[in-house]
Amino acid sequence: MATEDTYELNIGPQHPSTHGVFRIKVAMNGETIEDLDMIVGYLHRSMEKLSEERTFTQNIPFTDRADYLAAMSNNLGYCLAIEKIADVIPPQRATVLRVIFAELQRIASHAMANGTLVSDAGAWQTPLMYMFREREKILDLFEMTCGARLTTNYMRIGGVAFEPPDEFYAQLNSLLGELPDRVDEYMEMLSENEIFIARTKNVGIITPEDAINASLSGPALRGSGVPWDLRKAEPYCGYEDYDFEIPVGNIGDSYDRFMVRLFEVKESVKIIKQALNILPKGMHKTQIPLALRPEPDQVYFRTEGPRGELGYFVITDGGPAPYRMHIRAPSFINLSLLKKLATGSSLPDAVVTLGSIDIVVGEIDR
Amino acid sequence: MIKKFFSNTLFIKLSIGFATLIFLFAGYFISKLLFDLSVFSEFIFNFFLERFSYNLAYLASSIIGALGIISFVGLVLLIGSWVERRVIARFQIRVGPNRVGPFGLLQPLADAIKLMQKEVLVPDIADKLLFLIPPVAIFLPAILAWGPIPWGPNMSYLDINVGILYVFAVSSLTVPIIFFAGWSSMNHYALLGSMRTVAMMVSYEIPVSLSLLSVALVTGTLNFNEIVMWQSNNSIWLGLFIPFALFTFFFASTAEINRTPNDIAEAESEIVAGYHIEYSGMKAGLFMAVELGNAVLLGALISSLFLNGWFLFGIENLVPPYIIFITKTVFIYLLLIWLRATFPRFRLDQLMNFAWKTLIPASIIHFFVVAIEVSIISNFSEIPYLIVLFTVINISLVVLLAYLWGKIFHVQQYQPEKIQPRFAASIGGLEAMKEVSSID
Amino acid sequence: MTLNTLQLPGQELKNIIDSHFPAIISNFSLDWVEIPIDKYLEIITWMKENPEIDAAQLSNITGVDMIDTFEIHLHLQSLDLKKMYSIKVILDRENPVIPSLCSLYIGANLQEREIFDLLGINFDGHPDLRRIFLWEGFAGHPLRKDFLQMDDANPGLPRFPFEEAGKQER
Repeated sequence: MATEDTYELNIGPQHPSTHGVFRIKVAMNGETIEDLDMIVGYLHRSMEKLSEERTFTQNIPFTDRADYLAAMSNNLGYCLAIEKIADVIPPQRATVLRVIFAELQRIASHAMANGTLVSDAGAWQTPLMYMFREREKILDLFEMTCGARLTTNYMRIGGVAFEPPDEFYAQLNSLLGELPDRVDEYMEMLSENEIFIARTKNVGIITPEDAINASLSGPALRGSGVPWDLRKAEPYCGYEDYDFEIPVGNIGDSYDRFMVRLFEVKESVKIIKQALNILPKGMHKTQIPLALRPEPDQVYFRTEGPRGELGYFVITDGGPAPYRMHIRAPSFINLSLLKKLATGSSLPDAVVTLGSIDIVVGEIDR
Repeated sequence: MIKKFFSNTLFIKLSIGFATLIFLFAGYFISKLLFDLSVFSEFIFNFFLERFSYNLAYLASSIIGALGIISFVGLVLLIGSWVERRVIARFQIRVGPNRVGPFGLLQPLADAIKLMQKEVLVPDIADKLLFLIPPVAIFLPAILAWGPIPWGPNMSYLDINVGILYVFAVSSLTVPIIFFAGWSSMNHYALLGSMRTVAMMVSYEIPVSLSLLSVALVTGTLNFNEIVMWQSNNSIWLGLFIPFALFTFFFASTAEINRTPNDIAEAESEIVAGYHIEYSGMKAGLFMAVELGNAVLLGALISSLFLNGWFLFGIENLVPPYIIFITKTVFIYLLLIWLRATFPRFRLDQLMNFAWKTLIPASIIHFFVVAIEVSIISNFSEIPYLIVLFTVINISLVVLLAYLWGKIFHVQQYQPEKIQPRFAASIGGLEAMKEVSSID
Repeated sequence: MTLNTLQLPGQELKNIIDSHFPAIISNFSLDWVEIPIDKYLEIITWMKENPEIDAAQLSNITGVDMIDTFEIHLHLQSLDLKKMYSIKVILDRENPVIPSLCSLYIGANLQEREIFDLLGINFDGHPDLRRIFLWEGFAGHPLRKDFLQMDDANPGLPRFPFEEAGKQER
């Protein structure tokens, strides 16, 4: 890879800005990246193979560990796929609770993504810590509901595992009250910050044509201006009943992706407020057979996770376990453009670009 | 009964008040006693002079003085790292180190002990000699530069006529040492870090020297004591008289000593730790300590050159002057911590552009302007308050230029209606995108 | 089971394809359409360029081991028409080779490498066909159904990269 004019530099597997055990081998000419090779797989746990030997319910914890920063969203996608193939209809209360938790998870995940992006741009962890303040409160809500903070394992086929405790709603309401102010605070702090603009504006520009062609999804796609969100395009969990907007960026640089995430937090707050208003009384879970045996069939079900289109492709053969389960991992596929973006840019720019794409290595390697 | 009395809040308040009074009296007497430390140095010198030869007395007193400065710097390194961690923790809504000793004050000591216990790893392919020298050698400029700092009246360790030149020369020694460290590590990250450091230091030494030249031009001397006395005699702070020089010196020095927002030489998120990536244990600790010491040194330089040293509106007659000097130094150091907690980092090319295209031309122009002002002041010395007039003019000019520059630059960069996200009108691909962009 | 909202039913997709490639579709179901491997690249190219279908994005591509054969499942979508197309290709079990879609979609690159790594399906014309999650020299392809039924005489898989097979201590 390295030629006479270049030298080889290993960014990762242990590097502060790769967000996990992710390795990029770059050929550098001075400070400019001439060539790049991604090496992934350090966190490969062969989830897809393991899931072929476990029942449908036993597979839910695997989805936690795929994208460990958005466990709720992954639970949700998997459970919806299995419900679809097994014709299970969750009660209305469970559906609304799922929306609440998925949107809370989106806020937490975006807080993490934006915080680490600013850290990559060189701020010495202050914005990260500020954004962790909100994430911490959301994780407290998760803990109060299902006992876990990161790998929640909360959704079940046919509903959710537990009813949230009574004090959950009071804490959630106070959090929702302060979140929009917090987002405004971050905008004040960062979106007008000269240095932050200088570091992220016009860095890692993704054209909309490239974004669509490279199968990008989520904020990486919307940052380029493509108004595509599966919550609107292919509504699930009754998202068509909620009133919210899809923020899109202008030119598709790192700054746009950052801002799209900040705006999405505000929209998520709106969704949660509406969901709390329409939260019906009733059961939070339907009874399903202990060993669910769906008819032989196949399903590809997609949800809009925090990082993009999270698809579960499941083939059943009539047995209690999926014959084949494939996770369409948004982090993994969003990396398709990394080589094109980073080649020719400088090392600091490449780091910021990688941070703005927002990868989770657990989801890349699965 | 007695127990109850001692747990009484009145008793506690009384005892606190009594203790405060005692402390105040003790502090007053101690400060009277320690008001002028030159008494001690003269005593030491005379003590040796009476018993031995002049040369020996000179040697002995200079060693004792050097030990005094080194121990002060060591103390600053220990307390400074605690201050930095605590203050940044407060900025970041954290608690910071609070376990070891009262308020976590012994944490730096514990860190140092831990670092000393760790093994110093030397890479196999490293250039062994060059690899082991820099952590020790880098202390040399960091300590030597403290020499001509005026702590108070008659309190310079090196009261030399070329003080500014000396500090400048000594601090340049850092460049080859850092380059040795990065080059001998045989690590691409270290090499990148040292190349960045060298490029930055070479570029930013020019604005630093130009700003110090204007100081020398105004005061007509390179001696630190005389610069401080000039400010006191004309009752004006140089930082107010030539604010642009203060800004240039401060900004360029943050680049020289690798502090945020110019810490690209050891940018953690890019090249991990820069030139000292391969050092472990106390060797890495020494690099970090020197970095911190340099920050405090920058505070001392600024407070003596631009902030009137040990003078503070007559308070120097009540409090020992060196306390005032240290207070100013700590103030600048806290400013550096504030910057570190707040700002992201520039990119290398942005910093280079700023140095060569903005800061150096502006410094040269500023140097000429200062020269003209100084010649006017010296030619028309019969007109009173000329310095004050120029101070007002300089400050307003700098504020105006900064405002205009920021305005132009900011408008170029930040146009909310153009760079803020918009809301999608409809869902879809490229076709729907045209709809979105046709809205505005 | 019902279709996803965006999913074009297999019958309709078959009708559209039939009008341009008559009598080429051998099999279809509620959601997917099976196309023959020798016309695979041609049909996908046509689907991408035909404005009636406008398969601008390759949402997902994955492979399945069906014991006798391999299957490749493609999920293409058109963002503008808001449609998703599900396509299935059946490959030979002994020598699975399929044309690569990298010339059409940038996004196919990593996904095809993943299928090659885990299922051992070769992609003809892929610019950079290497293993991605597992290391070079890893014996076998784990997502194949017979992966765990390897011979007992097999000296064992190398547990770590750069380790020769059969040399490690057991």
